[in-house]
Amino acid sequence: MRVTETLRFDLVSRRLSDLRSKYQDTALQATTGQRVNAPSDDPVATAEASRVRSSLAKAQGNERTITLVKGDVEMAEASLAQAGDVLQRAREIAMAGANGANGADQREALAIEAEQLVSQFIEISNAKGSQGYLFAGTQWDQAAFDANGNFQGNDQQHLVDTGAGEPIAVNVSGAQAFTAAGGREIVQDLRALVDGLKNNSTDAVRNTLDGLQLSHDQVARERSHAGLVLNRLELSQSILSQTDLDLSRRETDVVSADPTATFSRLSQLEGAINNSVTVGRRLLDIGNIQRF
Amino acid sequence: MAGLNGLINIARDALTAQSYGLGVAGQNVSNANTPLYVRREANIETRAFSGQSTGSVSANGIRRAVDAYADRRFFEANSHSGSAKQYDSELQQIETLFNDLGGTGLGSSLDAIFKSFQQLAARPNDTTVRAEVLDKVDVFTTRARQIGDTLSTQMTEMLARARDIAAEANGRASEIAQLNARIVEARQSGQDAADLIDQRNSKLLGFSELVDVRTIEGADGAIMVQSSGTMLIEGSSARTLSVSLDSAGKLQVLASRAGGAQPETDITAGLSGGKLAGIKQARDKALFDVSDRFNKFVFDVATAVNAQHQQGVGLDGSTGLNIFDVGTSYEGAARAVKISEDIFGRPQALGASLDATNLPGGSDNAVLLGKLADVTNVFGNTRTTSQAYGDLVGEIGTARASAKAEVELRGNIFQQAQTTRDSASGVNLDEEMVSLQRYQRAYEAAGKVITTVDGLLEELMAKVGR
Repeated sequence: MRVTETLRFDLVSRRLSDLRSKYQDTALQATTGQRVNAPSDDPVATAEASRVRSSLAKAQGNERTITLVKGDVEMAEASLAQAGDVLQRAREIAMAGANGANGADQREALAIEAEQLVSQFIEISNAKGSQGYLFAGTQWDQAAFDANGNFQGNDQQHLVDTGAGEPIAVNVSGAQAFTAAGGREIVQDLRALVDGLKNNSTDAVRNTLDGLQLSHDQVARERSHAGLVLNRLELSQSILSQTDLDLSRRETDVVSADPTATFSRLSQLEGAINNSVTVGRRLLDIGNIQRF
Repeated sequence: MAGLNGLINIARDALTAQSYGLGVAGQNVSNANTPLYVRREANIETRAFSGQSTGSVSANGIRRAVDAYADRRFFEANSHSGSAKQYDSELQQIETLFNDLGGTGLGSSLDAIFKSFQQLAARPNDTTVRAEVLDKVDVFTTRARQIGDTLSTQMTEMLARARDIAAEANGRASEIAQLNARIVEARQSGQDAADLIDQRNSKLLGFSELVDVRTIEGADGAIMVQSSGTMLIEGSSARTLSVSLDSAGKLQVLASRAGGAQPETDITAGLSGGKLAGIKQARDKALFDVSDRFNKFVFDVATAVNAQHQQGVGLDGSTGLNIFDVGTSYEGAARAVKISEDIFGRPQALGASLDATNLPGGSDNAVLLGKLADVTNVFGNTRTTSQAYGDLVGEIGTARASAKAEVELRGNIFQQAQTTRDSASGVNLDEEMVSLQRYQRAYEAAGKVITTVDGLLEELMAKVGR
């Protein structure tokens, strides 16, 4: 083949241009840390990365959801523990009041304490969380109980998606915990105790014992339910945290550049460019007109 | 055999011929870097007067070292390379719009909407969370409109670029036709027209980058140029290309004769090379497809979200409201989509609950809205939103990757064609240096013949005159 001047110069410039272009691409990978910087770099990886990022966003959304609701469940659980303590104390008072050895004065004193327990119980039942009243069902904007101890909420669920398939209810039902919907109308049981004590009736006080025990069990049951919800949230959080990690790793695997390989490639290309310049110089020097 | 006087004449002819050869070599050296210059060779041959040998030499013009087949391949390869480059360049702009890896895509803003629905389920009566949902919807619609607008602008700009290319091709075609006329004229008057032919090749190279070309050289030196199966340049006349839109809004390329005496020829279907073909392929195939798919994607997403949101009840009791205004047809959906007037500035109207009695803590509808991300409600209910968007981006990436590969392939083919052509027609300075020396030596030798004959004649005169 005849090698013309144009061919010689083109060969050198084209080779250098190719190497510079490859160097530029590799440098971009090194600086961004990404092997794929545009969809055309690897269309399959790009589509996969897009889906992985969506899954990651969803998992992060689920994690955020759990963080947002968990505090309220914890508060509800703590409130139920307090309510349980109140009912425990009420039973103790009832047992003391039912004891025939105690006189009317003592029952009157116990009645005062029992009345305070009613107020305390209503106050606990009207506990507020980050969104409003914790035990009012979904009617967070109004107290679960009015001043007279009448339940004003509903028995509806606050549903959220924690990424564990079906959505779960993250509110503790005040209706189930404190009203006849759960078995016992607890405020009425407490009031019956107050009335029995005030009336100095050992029989009436004794009759409240079973009701108070059932009330206590009812609150304990709902507290246990709150604990289960908390466990479930924590388990989901733990799974999501791992999912988050896995998806992030997957995204990295799909689009990220291997730093060692990238820098090694950069070094190779730098060497190739230097060699190409040296060879090019010699190649062009062959045609030096001085030798004629 | 010539006598001494004849020998002087032969030497004189030799001086003329060798200096002509020197001139041709010098011309080649001067044009070593001139694009498309075809190396000349001096036609030096013995001068024949009669049947008797005289030994005289003459330079009968030049010969262009041209390989017609290599030339044709070169121009055709340039057409295909031009087409591939233009197609790739146009696709690059489309790809940029969907490059989530570079932070310019739509994927993250769509994910953010579904994420905000999840937060709404967690805090259905939180004004800040509600405002954030509206903000995410606004970001998504704004970005979708930007992409839709840019795709539409590209559609218009590609038409303008196609017209510019046609105008440029018309200018080149006219120049080639004029050069055809001058070449024929020069040939008829006995000139070699080599410089004019080189000039025409240069114009033809530019022309072949714009449209596909097939050249046929006539006996008179003029070339005929066929493009898309239609003769565009014939002798000194060239057809004019014009670009318009057909009834489907796609590019239509028409060729018409000067004066418009004959009907226009539609050459659109035959376009197979050059920038015009590249731009047509990018606009009428890739861009139409991407726009269509993107509009369907936006429409399907917005429609699905609207349908679910209509089931919800806002904190203010409103129900049956849309989140997106997107119209009733997918066509133009991306450019039209915006946050619905129903809920714009009204975060309380977001229907997180399916039942008014569950307000303000009802979150079941917000949960369902968030879960729409996992429902196959896009592209004829066959793909989830993330799958559909991944498909769309993947398809664009595949198209661009193919375009890049095509550019490389066509570029390599062009380089091979260029190498073949250059190998046959280019200037090799080594050869020219040798030629210069060869002609110089022959010139010196012819001079020596004259000096020798002159010496002999002088000696003869001296002896005769004694």
